[in-house]
Amino acid sequence: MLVLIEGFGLGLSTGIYCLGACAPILIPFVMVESRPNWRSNLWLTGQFLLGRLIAYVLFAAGASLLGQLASSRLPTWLVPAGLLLSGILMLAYAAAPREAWPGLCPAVCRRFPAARMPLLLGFLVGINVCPPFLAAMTRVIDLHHTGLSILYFLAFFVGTTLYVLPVILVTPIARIARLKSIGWLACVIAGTWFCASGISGLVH
Amino acid sequence: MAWLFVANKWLRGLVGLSWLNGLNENLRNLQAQEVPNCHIAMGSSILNYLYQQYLAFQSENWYQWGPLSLGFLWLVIPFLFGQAWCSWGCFYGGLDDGFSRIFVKPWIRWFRLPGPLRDLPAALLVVLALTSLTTLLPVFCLWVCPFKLTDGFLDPVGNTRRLQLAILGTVLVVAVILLPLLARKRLFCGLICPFGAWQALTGKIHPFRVTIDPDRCTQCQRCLRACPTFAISHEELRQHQIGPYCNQCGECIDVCPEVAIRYTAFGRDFPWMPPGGALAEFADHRVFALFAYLLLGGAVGSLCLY
Ligand code: SF4
Ligand code: SF4
Repeated sequence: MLVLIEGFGLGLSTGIYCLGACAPILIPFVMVESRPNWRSNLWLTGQFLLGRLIAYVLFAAGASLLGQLASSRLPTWLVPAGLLLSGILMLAYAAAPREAWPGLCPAVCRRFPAARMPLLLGFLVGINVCPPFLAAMTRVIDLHHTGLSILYFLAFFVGTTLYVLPVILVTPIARIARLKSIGWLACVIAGTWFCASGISGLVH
Repeated sequence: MAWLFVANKWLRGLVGLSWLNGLNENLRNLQAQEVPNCHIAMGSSILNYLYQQYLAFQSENWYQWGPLSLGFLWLVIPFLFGQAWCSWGCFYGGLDDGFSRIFVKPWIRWFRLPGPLRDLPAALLVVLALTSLTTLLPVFCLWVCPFKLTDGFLDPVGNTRRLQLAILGTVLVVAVILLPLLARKRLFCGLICPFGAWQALTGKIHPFRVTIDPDRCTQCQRCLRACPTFAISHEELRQHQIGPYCNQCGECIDVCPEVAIRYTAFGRDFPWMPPGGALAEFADHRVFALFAYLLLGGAVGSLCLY
């Protein structure tokens, strides 16, 4: 129980930083994909969050195993590689055929259906390590128990999710066509930014 | 009075140059993570400002905190000028505006933007606000803004700094000097400046609008070709609409042969200045700009006194 409260507390107190890390990916995506009805936007955000949850659970298990092996170091390439992958995925997503700039790369994108999957984007956001995430990881490494570590991360996930959920408030304005084209361009810019940050991190 | 406002257009360019000189001095003393006191930085770093303001409140030092007063100013600007700030107040805008007026005829005929490109400043605004918060850095100032091209402020690390200088220099040469000069379009204001997009949003509280009269318009497209910021698209013109990024510069009003475009309040004629009436000529952006300057001067003056 204490583990749950601790994880939830950490998520709640630091969720604004998590939002900072998620938002450049999530918001352009939501701008493009959102529909003017709450249910489909909830489903969209739900898939994104599920991807994030899977990443967290895998991380929790991995971190706990690392703790049990008395090694608390993450490979240094992991974070920039995650950024680079997120960037590539956003660019591929933006290149998929849509209203903003129809038919930009239909041939490639038909063979790459994952480019439209919020689940995958959520997963990649989940492995973009931000400071609260690192704090949570340091804690689970100390726990030396896989089950407790997963519980801790689940509670952490719930705490941070409260900050992410307001993105569905975009619903009432989702019918504005211009929003989609702004979101599409934002995907391209943010994707380029993530790619550049990832490459720069890998090179250094 | 017209000559006064033609002079204003050029004056803005000169003020822009001297402001850049002052900004350069100011930037030398800044650390890379600080947001410069500049209206363009305000929109793209809004989340950082809010965060800093939150920290300032927590430290009980809020009344000494610059962003609060800047925030006040920044509410005053949209209220007084609306989007006309970009054409009548912004001294940076004065630079590409100035370059776009050097030749009487364009060397490159560029009237149409491909796809959704006109929304680029709004997309930049969204991404910059978010990435600035994530990195706690003023990303626009460090990576895009051609007016922050200076020997201070930027990243101290050699290669990163060189890359920043290269990007800022390229934006300056291409978007502020070369393309405005050759195409007679305000490229920086129209396709890059995130503050322009911010004004398109917040400026909506200002009642002034540029409106096309469907009964008079003959679809000659002169307005579309004259608009320096690509604010009128073919689709919008067919529906007698002006796009949301209109800077209210008045160029289209001056070129329309049918006198079909005029200034209105939320799309309606000013009741005390009906077209053809004795006061009609006062429904002019220049008159409103003059009032806005005076009021802004008063607001800034009282802020300084305080
Ligand atoms: S210049 Fe005047 S008449 Fe010609 S398209 Fe524009 S509004 Fe219509
Ligand atoms: S639509 Fe007319 S007033 Fe608006 S920016 Fe273009 S030329 Fe200027």
